[in-house]
Amino acid sequence: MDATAPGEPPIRFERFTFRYPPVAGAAPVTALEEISLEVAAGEFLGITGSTGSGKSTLCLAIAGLVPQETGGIVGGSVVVTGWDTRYTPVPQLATRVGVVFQDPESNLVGLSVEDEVAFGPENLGIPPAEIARRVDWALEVVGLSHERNRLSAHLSGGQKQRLAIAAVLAMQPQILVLDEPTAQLDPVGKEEVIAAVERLRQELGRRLTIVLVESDTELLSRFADRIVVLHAGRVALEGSPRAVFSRTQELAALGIRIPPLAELAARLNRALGAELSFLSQTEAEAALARLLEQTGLTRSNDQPPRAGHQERPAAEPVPAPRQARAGSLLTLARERDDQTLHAREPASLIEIEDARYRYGGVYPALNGVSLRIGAGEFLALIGPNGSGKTTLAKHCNGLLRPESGRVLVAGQDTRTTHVGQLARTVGYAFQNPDHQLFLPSVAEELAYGPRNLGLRGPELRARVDEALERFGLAELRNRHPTLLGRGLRQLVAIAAVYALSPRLLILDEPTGGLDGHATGRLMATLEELVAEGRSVLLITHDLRLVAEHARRVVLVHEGRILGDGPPRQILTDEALLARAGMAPLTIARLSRGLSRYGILPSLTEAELAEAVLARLAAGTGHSGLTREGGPG
Amino acid sequence: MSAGYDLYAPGDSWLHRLDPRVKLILTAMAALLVLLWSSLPLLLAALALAHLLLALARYPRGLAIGVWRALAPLLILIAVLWPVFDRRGEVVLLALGPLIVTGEALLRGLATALRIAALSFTLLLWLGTTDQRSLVRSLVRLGLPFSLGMAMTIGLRFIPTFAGVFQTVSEAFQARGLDLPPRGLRRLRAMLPILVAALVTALRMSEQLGWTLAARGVGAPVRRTALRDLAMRPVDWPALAAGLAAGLTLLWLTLAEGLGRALR
Repeated sequence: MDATAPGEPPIRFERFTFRYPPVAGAAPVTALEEISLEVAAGEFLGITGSTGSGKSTLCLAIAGLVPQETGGIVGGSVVVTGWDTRYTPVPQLATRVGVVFQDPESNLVGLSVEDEVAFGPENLGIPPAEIARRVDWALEVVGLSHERNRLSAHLSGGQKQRLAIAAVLAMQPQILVLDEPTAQLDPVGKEEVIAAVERLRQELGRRLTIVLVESDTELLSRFADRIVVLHAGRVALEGSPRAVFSRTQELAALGIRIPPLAELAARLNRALGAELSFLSQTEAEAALARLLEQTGLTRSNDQPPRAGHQERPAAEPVPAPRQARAGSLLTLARERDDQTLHAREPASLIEIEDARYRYGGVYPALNGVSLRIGAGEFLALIGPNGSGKTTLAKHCNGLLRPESGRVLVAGQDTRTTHVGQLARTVGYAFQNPDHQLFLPSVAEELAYGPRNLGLRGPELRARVDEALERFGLAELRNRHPTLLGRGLRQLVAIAAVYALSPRLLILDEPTGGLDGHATGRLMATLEELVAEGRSVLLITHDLRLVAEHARRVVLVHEGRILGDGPPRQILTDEALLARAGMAPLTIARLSRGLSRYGILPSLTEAELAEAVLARLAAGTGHSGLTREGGPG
Repeated sequence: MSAGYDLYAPGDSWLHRLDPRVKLILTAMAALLVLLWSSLPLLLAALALAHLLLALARYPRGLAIGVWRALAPLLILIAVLWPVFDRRGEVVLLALGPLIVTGEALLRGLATALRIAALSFTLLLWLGTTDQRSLVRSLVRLGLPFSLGMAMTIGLRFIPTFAGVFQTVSEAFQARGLDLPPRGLRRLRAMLPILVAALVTALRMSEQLGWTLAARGVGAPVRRTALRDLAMRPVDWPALAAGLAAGLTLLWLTLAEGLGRALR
């Protein structure tokens, strides 16, 4: 690791502007505009922004891949450890900058674990003895020493990303650039990668400068020294995590999902005129405890004070709410849960009876699953990767057929009905939009499915128009789908499945490429569909989304259903989640930590804010507070 | 999933342990002989020997059967079509208008199919017992430019990935009501959109992989080193010598004495 000239920041953007080369006769697309930014040695810089804000381009620019590999028009400069990235060859820059991309598949060359890590140093001509030392160290840091002889292709997603980090570390860079390294991982894989980064921080401290690009702002708020928010290729906000994440309204306007604790603080601040600010759960719990105690609400109000309340088993009943009034959020949420239970009673759309399935007749994926889905349900399917979520969902439209047991779709047995036939009842939108887009215009893409089902002429046109309208794609009807940004491609793919007018719409991780705005719009559209009597089955790792929208949650683990019930029942059951290797929501954990103050288990920021305000009102007698604490 | 497309079966047999360069040289030697031979008995013997060696190396039978299954359509096609286009030979077995099938052409078709089978299983002796790292490294040590070796490694690795993409894309289209006929030209035509979407995905992936390679120092203007280089063990030398002696003898007999050049 040779050092940079003293006083020279490791990364310096100077009025850097970049336009991607034009595609198919279109104008060049501006990705970054007049970026001026310095990153200090040893700093942990977090970058976030909506889709198309230029986050990934910024990563590529630090590594010199923009513009050297991508081509395009450049203005200004990026200087990395004294080297101008426009003129320094990428392999040379690679000795000082390591990059890890989002897709685990494209981060690895495909060798054994050990060879994968050795690959970079070998290319740089490092002596074998030194390579061996580096490989040992890098594998140790990311916790993969015991896997060194396995083929990288056989690792899990989280392991692959840790291996990619190790492979980059072995080149001993001064700068590590991580471009949404956890975006395609399940919660377990995500925690693995986070733990590796944490370990790296402890081990190398200020010797390594880290740039982490993330849409998951909660993750950024845990790590970063400084946050930069990009919007339309420009720096929109910049500052400490506390400062940036307290500007919730600006963030929301920029399409950024606000970290739950920051959102909670903002809601309380608006209602109380206070200046609360917390980034970690410990901080939040302490601050809220102080607040609740100040207003005379002592622990003895509901139950005797007890030490070590966090170790309390989750199943222990919490005190009943004295102030949950009709019309409050808590009550509304419960009513929603109750409605769901009733909604499930009528004739089932999907009936799965003791379904068992093994991949290739060998690897068990479903071990006796029974599930009914009725009309008008909003159901979330959660569980770690490999738990059987997707296998289960593919049984709902006949893509997979049970080896034993049976699946009925609107009364038709999937073993004797063609998949194309079942597509009239069940629509399935796959995770990666590129897996289904192939036609030259958005409108044609949307017409493809209905045409397969036999629709023609005005009926087909009406169906397409309605789908375009519903998903806000009307203006893009003549655009080429594959040339749209990832978020829009995702919406086109979902709209194309919706155009089949299915009674059940299955969406596999639909919000992966979407920013806050697009996610909000999509979820609102799904809510509309449910209100109209269609059913939605959402496969997702995003428990926050589940808490906000689903009426029913099915937790799958090892090919079995571990839990099935309203979000409140499943998502607050920490023991149940832990059995599936899943961590509860930050807000759920926090509300449990505050249960000694009579705070009920909450799932969303709005609910917890309401609960805290209600308790405060009970303590001080100012009941008016609660109304302002409602959803803003 | 990748295992299904990977011919390599990990193991610790004598064939697995043999230096990959020795294996490569001997495989090349055997392949050359098989290519020169037309004799049905000799080709059959070569095929039998390859299977014996695979069995001795404890190569999984399932994988070997898989290779036969993959080869079968090609072998049948050759055995059937060869006699139709080859008019050599005097003994006419069948004359139907313009279609004339001679006995010799029939045997030639059979020999060609056998040659391809024998060649495939000779290569399997090498590919089935050599992991990717040793495989590429042996090629590079024998003079193949590193970039080509790299391309080979990546090509091999992406076969299962692309197969997976194709499978997913195919499911996504069926879920949108695409009716895939079970076989025939209609199926091929119906698969066109699937191919387009799979190709777009593949292109996106390969662009990213290109970036990864550049960012991992591929193309740095220095002499590449290797964490673990190949080293000949004492036992590898006599194996190479014995194998080469046998191979060269057979080659001399083939070229000078005409061994195995005739059909029977």
